[in-house]
Amino acid sequence: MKYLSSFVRFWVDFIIGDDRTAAVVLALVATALLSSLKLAWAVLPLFVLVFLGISLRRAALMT
Amino acid sequence: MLSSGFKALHDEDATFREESEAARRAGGVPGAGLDAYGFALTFKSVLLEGLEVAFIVVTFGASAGQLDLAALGAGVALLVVLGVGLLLHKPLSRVPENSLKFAVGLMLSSFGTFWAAEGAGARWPGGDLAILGILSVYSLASWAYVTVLRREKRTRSSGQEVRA
Repeated sequence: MKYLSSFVRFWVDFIIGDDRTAAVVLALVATALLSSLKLAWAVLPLFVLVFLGISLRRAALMT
Repeated sequence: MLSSGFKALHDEDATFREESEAARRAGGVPGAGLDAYGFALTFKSVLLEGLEVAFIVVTFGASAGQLDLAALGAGVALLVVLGVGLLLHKPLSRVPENSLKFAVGLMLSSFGTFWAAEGAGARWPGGDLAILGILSVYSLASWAYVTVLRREKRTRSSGQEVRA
């Protein structure tokens, strides 16, 4: 079981890393839901900018 | 984090020296069959980069319906990169690695945002040219974040000096 969890943890870290996974999924879902609107393209960049700021802030505080 | 000074800049040459030393310490036996350390090191690098290239080639080739042409292009690109790497490895080690990574990160994020939003059903104003717009916005935002973090780093450093 320990090996299995280490294996899963390695691949999650390898593929996702320290990204805000939930935010990425949420941004894609929001874009898909709003895709009929003309401004749907703005959702993803906005999420990226906001969550990048949050990640940087968190990392700076931990340093 | 690197540009703002919160993390130390990477020194690629120093890293190469450290890794070479670690490989020497691991102690392969010349002519005694498979060098396990060397194999693991090379396999990890090739797996990581090779998978990335394979995904890109298969995705682009399949979506254009020309997988054979994409594979041929990837093979030619491999030979060109190998040749250029062999010829230019000395001057290439002088390219500022941290700035290069920053620029590549911005470009990958811009392309990623464009395709992810398009895949989710959004339509970009200006079509493919929107990538340039995203790149500009991300560059400006990165510059702003770096500026804010640098200021915070300076404030913290001066605070520590005062306490000392």
